[in-house]
Amino acid sequence: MQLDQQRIHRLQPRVFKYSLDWRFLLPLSDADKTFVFFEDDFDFKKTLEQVGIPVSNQLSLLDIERKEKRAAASFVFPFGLPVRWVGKEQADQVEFFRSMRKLMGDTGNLLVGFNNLWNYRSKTPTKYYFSTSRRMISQLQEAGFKVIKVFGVIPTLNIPEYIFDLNAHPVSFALQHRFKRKPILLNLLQLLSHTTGVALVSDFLPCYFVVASV
Amino acid sequence: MLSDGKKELFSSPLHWMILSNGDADFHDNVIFFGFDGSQAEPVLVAKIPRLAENGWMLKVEYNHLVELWNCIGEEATSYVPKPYAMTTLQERPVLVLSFASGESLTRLSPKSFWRNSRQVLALAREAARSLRNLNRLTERPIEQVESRDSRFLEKAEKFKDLFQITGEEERALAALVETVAIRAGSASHKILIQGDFWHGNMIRDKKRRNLMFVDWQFARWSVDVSMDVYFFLLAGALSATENEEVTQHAKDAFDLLNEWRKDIIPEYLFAYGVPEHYALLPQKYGMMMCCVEKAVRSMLEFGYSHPDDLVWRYLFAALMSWQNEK
Repeated sequence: MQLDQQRIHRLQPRVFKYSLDWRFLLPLSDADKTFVFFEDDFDFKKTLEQVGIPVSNQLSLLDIERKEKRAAASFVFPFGLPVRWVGKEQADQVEFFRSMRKLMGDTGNLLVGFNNLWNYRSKTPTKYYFSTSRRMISQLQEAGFKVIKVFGVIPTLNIPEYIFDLNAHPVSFALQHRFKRKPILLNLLQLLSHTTGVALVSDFLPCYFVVASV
Repeated sequence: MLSDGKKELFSSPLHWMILSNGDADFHDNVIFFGFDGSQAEPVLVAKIPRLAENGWMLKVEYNHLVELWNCIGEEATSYVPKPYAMTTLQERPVLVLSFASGESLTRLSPKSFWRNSRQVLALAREAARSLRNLNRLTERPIEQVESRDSRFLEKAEKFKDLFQITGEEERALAALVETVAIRAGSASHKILIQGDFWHGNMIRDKKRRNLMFVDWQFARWSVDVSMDVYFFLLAGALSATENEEVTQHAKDAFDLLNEWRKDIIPEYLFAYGVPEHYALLPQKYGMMMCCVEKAVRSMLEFGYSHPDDLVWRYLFAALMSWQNEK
């Protein structure tokens, strides 16, 4: 058995710890125009390399400012704003988004993933800020972004099994699909969405992606 | 604008839900469900590969679904989604299909379902009958110029190359290759096999309550139906015995298959029946053939190993202990 495992492990394995399906929310751009910002994580770097996003892109914002290819680029914070780089106050975060907007110019896209403040059970380490969709939209608007679209994400940002528009039918379909083996929870969620509307249920999703442009 | 015959599929911009199949396998597809404003259920499904170079899989699926629909006409509605288009969006290959409304059987519980022999038997019988009915519809005589070769020899060679197999296993593999070739040689007809026939690729139709079969990317014409018939049983046994330790997982699945040999497997095979014009291998060889094909599939198709490859390799070894049947 050990020989079998040695032999099979010599082959390049697939990567299962992270998916990069947030790429489907962005216009297709060259891999070297996708700038992904995250706290140091070897597995995640390997995942990026696997789809051809050069990890050498993951430089400081200053380095990117010097690069000419930032026009029409995608700037991605898949797990949220890193605590180490951005202050915790609203004003700090708005200012950070404003600097991103200036960096991106008129043609780029910003994607930020974040865990819901309500998502206490999230296993994501606190290297990143939690937020809410309302707060995120408000910050991005204040920072000058004009087009802002929020997507619901279940169950985690590492491997988002469901990503969906915050519209009644997709939300309801995703919840049914996800919780069909948990009828009590599903009934409760459906009751809630019928009585209070999908908007309220959408406020309690575990995580989100937001895509913003000017 | 996409249409189904004369009917436009949607009139307003769609809202989307992306389903990732539950993991981050880079060689898998993601599935987009498209909703228009008026209906609670999706109006279409779009499959997109995570890596654009794997678009060939969707092309295979599209071609075989078109072939199936052309071959059996509207009867296909009862078995498979309707292929609307194979197209490209933002340089990404996209397969657009009808939505198969109903409940996916992917998440059948290992304990409450797969350990309940009455429920397993009911599903097995139903799957066997549906598969046989579909096979009857696609059954076609082999043209003189057509090859009966299933490329199994190539898969067996890859199996030897990939794993450290014993002399006894090598002899069993050689006997299997020979049996597959002999059975194929005596077939006069071919059928369109699904190639990935397990409960995770089945949906129970909401209205008609029958089983629909999805994910045809590994479909092919074959003179031997064994891959579809036996894969259903093997995948069920593996789902019932989940275990991260591969040798134990293979052993537990094998033990369960031994239990199923008393009633479930004979009933399942009886429900499928004996094909007259194409091959169905005996249990032992049929299951070993599936194990070989599954153990090397990701390497042959994608050039990557898969965590499950070793489970199939050990299940192959365990099945060698079964008596040969005629």
